[in-house]
Amino acid sequence: MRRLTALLVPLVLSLGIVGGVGAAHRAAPVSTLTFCTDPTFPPMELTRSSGAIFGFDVDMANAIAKQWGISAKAVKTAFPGLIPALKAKKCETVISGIFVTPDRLKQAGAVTYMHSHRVLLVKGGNPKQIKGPNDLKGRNVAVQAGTKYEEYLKALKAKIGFNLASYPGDTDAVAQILIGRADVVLTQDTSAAYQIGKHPGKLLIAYLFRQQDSFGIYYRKSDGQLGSGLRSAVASLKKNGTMAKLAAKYKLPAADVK
Amino acid sequence: MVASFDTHLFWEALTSDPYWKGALLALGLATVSLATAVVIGFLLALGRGSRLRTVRGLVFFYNWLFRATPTLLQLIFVWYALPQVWPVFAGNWFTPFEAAFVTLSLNEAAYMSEIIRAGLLSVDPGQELAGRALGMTRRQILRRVIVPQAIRIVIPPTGNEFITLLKLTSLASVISLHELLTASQELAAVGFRYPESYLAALVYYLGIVSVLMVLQDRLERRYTWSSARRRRVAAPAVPVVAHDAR
Repeated sequence: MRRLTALLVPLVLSLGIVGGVGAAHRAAPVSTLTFCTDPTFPPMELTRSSGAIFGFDVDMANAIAKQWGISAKAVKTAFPGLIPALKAKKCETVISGIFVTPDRLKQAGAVTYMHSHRVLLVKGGNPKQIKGPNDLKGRNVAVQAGTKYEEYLKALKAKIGFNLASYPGDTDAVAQILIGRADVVLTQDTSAAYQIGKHPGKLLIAYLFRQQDSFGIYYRKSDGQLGSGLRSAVASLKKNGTMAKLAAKYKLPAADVK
Repeated sequence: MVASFDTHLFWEALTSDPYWKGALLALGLATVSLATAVVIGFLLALGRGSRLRTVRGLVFFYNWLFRATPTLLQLIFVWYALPQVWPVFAGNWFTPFEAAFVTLSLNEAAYMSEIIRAGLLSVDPGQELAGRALGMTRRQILRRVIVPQAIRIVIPPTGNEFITLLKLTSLASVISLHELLTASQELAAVGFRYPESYLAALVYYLGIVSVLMVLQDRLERRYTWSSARRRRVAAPAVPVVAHDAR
């Protein structure tokens, strides 16, 4: 009997430990949460002068990974290559301030975690009197290549006519206003708010698009388990206030992450 | 996995307007840049052999500066850094094409100067003496004796440089120049069809370089004289001997 107890006790104990871990961290669908990201979209993701990637998305990825008891790792990728990199298994997910759109949903699954608006960013004081998309006529417009912004601007350019320049990063496009080459940049309110904070008085939001865009975490359609894991992880981060805290940290409206 | 290649999309890309225009732009940029680089390079090569120490020093500094820094960095410097120092460069007149043209010309001139210098050095100094003995001026000797012979030496490496330059134009995509690589990136970003989009660009580059190689061959023949042609006929014998010896 004693021998049996001696044998059983560690077994039960170990079961208890495993059970305890399982309760605290729901079984992780991956061993490391790798995410492809283009760190040129502050404050969602940007690069420190040391080269380290940080931002809202990075913190969120870490929070999700922490829930699962694993670690998160960013894989730096140029924006147009994000979804292809996911499909080529360079990463398990894409977390990069990327919109959830019908054509991207054909390529991969997505979990929405934030809503925001597009804006027209101009030079402080709005010298060219930009009040809406129609005022872009004949102006110099800069944008990040491979984005939905570029797609929209190309269609608009065909209609009203203006000079459109596409750059590898969102920060490169915004830099064109600061340099004095571009009159307008189409970007997200998140990026605009950050840049205005960094360059007070030099930039201004001239127009806020009414249409709402959703940022999403993309995963491979074949990884259904990871998708549902991400969905519940994001839901619980919203519920326990982590998302609101991160929004506050990066000076984003709390309503965006509700 | 061959099934996942969309031949129709590939043909569509190959015959699309943005690709065609992008290719023409790349070829145009490479051509005007090389032409300018040859002129500047020639002057630099002459400067390298100057009697004045300052001139030699300046040429050395120029070649050092442009050969020791990456072309991509030079492009980014001209496009992003220059306007912050001189706001004039932020103006509409300074287009991505002009920025790329200036950068690639100056960059290529450094390489061309070395190639041209090698060509000038390849002509036996005795010919200059002979020219002087005939009462020719320095300029006449250069134009009628040295340059025609140096061209023969300079053509093959210059063809090399042209091909390199053509491919370097793709770097200008980072300064928003709408060239061939940008066209393929845009198509890829819209449809996520990477194999078709990039293979079409690849075919364009291959096509352009093939034409350039044919042109180079023609040019080389044009500058081959009777004595050289005889050498050319005799040439195949050399590798045969070498092969036997091995």
